[in-house]
Amino acid sequence: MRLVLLLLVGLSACTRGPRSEAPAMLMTVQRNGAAAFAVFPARGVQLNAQQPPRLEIEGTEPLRIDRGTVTRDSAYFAEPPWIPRVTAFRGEAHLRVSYCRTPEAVCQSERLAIHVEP
Amino acid sequence: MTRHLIASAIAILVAHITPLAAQTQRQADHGPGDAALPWSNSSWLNADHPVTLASLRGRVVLLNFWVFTCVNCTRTVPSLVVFDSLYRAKGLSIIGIHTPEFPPYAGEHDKNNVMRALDRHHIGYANAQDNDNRTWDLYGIRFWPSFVLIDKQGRIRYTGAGEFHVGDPTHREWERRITALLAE
Repeated sequence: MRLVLLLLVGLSACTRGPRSEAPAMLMTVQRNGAAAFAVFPARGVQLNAQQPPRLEIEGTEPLRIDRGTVTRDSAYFAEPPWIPRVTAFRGEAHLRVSYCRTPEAVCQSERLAIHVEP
Repeated sequence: MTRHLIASAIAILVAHITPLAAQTQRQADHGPGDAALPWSNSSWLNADHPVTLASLRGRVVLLNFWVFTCVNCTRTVPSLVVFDSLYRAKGLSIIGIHTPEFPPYAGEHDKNNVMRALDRHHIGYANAQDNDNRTWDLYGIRFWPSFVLIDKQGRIRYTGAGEFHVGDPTHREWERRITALLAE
């Protein structure tokens, strides 16, 4: 029975880690004294500055989250990209991100289901 | 209790193994040694008419899955331009498969934007617009940039993904593969 429990713990550990971790998350922050959306990359993730994240809220134009400094070669964001929070929307939405995991030299993209908090 | 735990462990094992097995099978379906799959893209740049796999029989073909907003892709383009200039006349056809990452609102589907990117990066080889991801899915591609090297008989010989640069070890390895297939 102890062995079975160890096996269960071991297997559940396999489901976590970098591969299953969301590459980024959206947060409401303060920028220049006002509310803003900012996209924070997970550890080891670089967000593509050539194709900035988009917040997709059903029935509205996607919001391009593209403010913030970029790396010298303009390839990636050097800080979490952000935009002023122009909507009071709260609820279910999607965050679309293009990113690269260090040290991989490939682009990936994901559409993440998120909940936008007030 | 023990029986319940064992059943749970088996369920978790199956849940872990099944997707892996499916992935392995999928890769095996399109891996080295298998026949390349004919693409059917209708929109092309740097080509007067759609380029088909059948029309390239007898040539070595390097498919490059890319998108102009991916820096890992555009940083690799100089290597591909070098391969094109060195080996096109010797039987190499590089085919860009331009596959957008984002929906049309982001501009990657726009043919004019792709054309500008080809000019900006001095790309002279044919490029297909893969706006519906059909060829991407056909080859089971997951990353930008990705590569599929096809021999003169239309068989997939090598696949790979990731940025490389003129003269680096990965560039040299792809060049070695290309010249080996050209010599067959």
